[in-house]
Amino acid sequence: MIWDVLFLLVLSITPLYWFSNGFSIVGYDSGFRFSGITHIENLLQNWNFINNFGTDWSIYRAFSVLQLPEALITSLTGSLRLAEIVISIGWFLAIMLSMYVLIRSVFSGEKFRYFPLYASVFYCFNFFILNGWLNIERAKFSLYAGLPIALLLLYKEAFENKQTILRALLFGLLYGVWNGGGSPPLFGATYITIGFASCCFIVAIYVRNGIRSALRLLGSYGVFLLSFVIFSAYWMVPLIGLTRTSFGTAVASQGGIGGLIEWEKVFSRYASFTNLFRLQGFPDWYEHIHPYAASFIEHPILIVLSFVPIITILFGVLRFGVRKGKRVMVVTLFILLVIGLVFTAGSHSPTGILYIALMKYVPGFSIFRSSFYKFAPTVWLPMIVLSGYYMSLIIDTYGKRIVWKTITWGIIIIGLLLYHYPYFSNAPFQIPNGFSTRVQIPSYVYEMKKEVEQQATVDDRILILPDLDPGFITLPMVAYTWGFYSADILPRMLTSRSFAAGDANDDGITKRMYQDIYTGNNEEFMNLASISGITYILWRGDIRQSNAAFAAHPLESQKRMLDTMPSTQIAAQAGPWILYKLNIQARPMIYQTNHPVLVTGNVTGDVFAIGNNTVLRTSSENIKTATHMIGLECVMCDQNEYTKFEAGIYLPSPNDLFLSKIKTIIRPKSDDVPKKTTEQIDDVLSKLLITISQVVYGTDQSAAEKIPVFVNELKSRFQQLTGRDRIVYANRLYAYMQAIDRLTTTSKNALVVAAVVTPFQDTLTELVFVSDEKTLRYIVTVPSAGIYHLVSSNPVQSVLLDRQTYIGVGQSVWLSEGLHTAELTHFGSSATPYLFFAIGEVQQSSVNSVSYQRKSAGYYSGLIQSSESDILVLNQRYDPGWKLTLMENGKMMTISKHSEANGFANAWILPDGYTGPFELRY
Amino acid sequence: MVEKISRLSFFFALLSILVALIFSLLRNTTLAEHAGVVTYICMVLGVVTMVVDELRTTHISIKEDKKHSHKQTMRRRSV
Repeated sequence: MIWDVLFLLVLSITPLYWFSNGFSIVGYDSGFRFSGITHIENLLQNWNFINNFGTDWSIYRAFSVLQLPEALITSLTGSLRLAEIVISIGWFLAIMLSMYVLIRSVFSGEKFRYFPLYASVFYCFNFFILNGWLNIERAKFSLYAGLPIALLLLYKEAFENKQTILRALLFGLLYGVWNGGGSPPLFGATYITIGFASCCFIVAIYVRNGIRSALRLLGSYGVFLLSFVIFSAYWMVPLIGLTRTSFGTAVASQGGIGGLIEWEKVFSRYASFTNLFRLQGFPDWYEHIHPYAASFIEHPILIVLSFVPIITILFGVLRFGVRKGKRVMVVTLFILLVIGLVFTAGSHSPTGILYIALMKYVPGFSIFRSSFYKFAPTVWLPMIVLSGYYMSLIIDTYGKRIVWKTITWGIIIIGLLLYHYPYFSNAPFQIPNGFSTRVQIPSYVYEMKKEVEQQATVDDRILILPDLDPGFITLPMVAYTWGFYSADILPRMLTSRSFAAGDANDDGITKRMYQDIYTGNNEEFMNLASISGITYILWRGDIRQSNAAFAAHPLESQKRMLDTMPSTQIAAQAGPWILYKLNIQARPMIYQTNHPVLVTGNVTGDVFAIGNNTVLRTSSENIKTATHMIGLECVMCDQNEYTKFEAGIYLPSPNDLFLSKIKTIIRPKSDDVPKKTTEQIDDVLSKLLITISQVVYGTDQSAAEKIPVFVNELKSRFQQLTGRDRIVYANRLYAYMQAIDRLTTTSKNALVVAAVVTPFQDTLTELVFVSDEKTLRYIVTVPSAGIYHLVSSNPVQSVLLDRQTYIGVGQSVWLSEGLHTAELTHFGSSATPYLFFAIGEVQQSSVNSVSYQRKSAGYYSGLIQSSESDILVLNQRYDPGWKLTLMENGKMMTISKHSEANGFANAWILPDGYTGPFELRY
Repeated sequence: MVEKISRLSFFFALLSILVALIFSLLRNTTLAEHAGVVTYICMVLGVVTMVVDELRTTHISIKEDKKHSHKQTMRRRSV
């Protein structure tokens, strides 16, 4: 055993090669932070002030434990690279030893002498894990390493009726520490393995010892679950809270369940059973992300070798069956393998239809949208163990001498390592376009980290320039000439300061600031920078631009604009990185103000409503000094938005039709909750599309008779709509009718469909109201009749109101209550203007600073001294989780009135004349 | 009988995975995939019959154990 462990120790130093010559592994969202223990302190807060204007990151609480070792080493030694070396060796050992412990505990005896070694090496050296080393996926490694130990604890509990509490504690502790970063999708393989293994063990105990023993085991596993919940509560509780509020939004942002399924199909494209039997099927391999992959796809010897484990298993089971002694474990592993294959194959045929049904109809299952990466360990673990088991039996049967057996196992283990040769090269870290996660970080990066920490406080906000680049892939990324490539920007990894950038969490205000810099609109840039609290600009001259970004805004021209921008001065320089200080009166993190503008309407861009007054998104507040504004909604204003919408409509395939029938069986119709007319129209549209699909695909010719019924129902429902809904649904229905016409043109039933759909489409034509290349079209619902004047974020020409009269910006007009339309001639690529109707004149506002103390990222306390300002603003991103508490008559009082300010921040309306202490908590 | 079906299933699984290997070497991905599906189906059949066989033999051996221990008890009593 000592020799075995020594051998594994030697193998675990493989990463030393990767980190030689001063290389580190960073980028590609690896999540490493140079700030060490400060990063852990930040993770313990629910509010992250570093990303743009702040964000809730309570879902990352689990990383405070998982990343603690690397953070401690970074803080103690000052070297992230050293921390990476230590934790990499640690994960190699953890993965190998966990498998070693499982096999050695379950399979004892001389014939299994080398089995633990083989399984440990194979469990650590395989392409699933190699894929994770690209960015050292600690979350993935933790669950992968935990799986054999969890399986062992369950097995021991079933067959040794002792120490239940101790095992349950170990089980809870295991997942409390190796917590998968608190990401439920990553637990996919863990759920399946633990769930099915538990069932197998309970059934085995029932058959052997009867129902009482089986129930006792079930109870023990219940204690395991309880322990898991208790030890994981620190990350599960915030996650449950956030999931309840944001799951729907998250799904919607991915294009709904349909979008998630399409995403899943991309990931499962190569997850055929044949590839999975070969422990392959990685989508990255076929998209040329990994340079080593081509050899394994094409080289005949490597192809033959990839079949060795599955052939060994099938030959072994045929030759030896399941030997006495460890039957339950071996049979359980076979069951796990056949189930795991279905889950890992995901939406790939032939079992893909089941997986898609699970995604569509099992609530929450859609989180497993990349099945391959989430469930692969359910295939890898049984394949590795079963191949080792039968290899042991084969070698024991055909080789009687110990020397021969030792040599054979030596050849197998060395062959295993040689087969996975990319482990001993730099290839695993290379990514397309010449980028790599294995990079030498230039010294000036560290120098700038020190400068930023010295000059900027935690309440300062730094805008990065150049902006992120969506030209490499569709997502905004950051790339440097020295190889770094990531969506997680480097400055945020370097230090605990607030950095604003145009990434996925971006606010409209940031986009506008970049646009102002590019167009040289310094005045508006300075105003927006002041409102959003931007005090510095960090220029990184070593950015590598994509061709698209270079064509739009080359580095040189951006730098020139920055150098000529008034009110900026160089605060620090390190190599090509320059820190500029903005000499402006930026608004503090917390301030008081007055004369707000209250904005309503179905539109964003509040901050552009007016000059530098604070804009609140609310209509219910009774503030005497306020000006009320209604935002005009621009209808389908993005470039080609209508065309894209229409082109995105498709007929459900026969498979979807089959699934819709299953859905009807699973979820019978419920008429308990009355639906809105718009929802009824959506339902009828869905039925119409299914019916047309049946006609087009020829699955139900009689369905043609139903088409006029559905279209007539659409007509009658549409007639019930008024106001904004009527315009929105006229556009929507018109697009659908147009799409149906397009989709059925080549069908032999085209005339049947057209005869019904075309007349309806014609009646909608005059109601359609969408923007096009030349004209921007707006709608607005005026709550009460009165005189309003037009306000615009950009200088614009006259606006055609209700297709009758022209009015210019600043001009007043009497508007009746209800829906109104506005049309504006649009020139080329200029930004879409935000239009508002205002009542009353906007009065000059003042900004008063407030004395406050920052106790943590999510906790401020201070003193309100001025009774003249009625609004308190916190310049962090608006989130209902922020609470203001005041002290009135000796009692703590939480202010419930809380609204979005300036399109991103938080604002509270203070009680009349309030002065005294306050607390802001998230 | 159940054991025979199990062994036969695994035999065909082995056969079809060898076919999948040959098609993989010939770069015929589609046929290799089909062979993989056949392997999977045979494997499922093999595992299901293996489980049934396992449950059956365990049940029989427990019954025999009980019969045996009952006989021993009776013998002890008669002695």
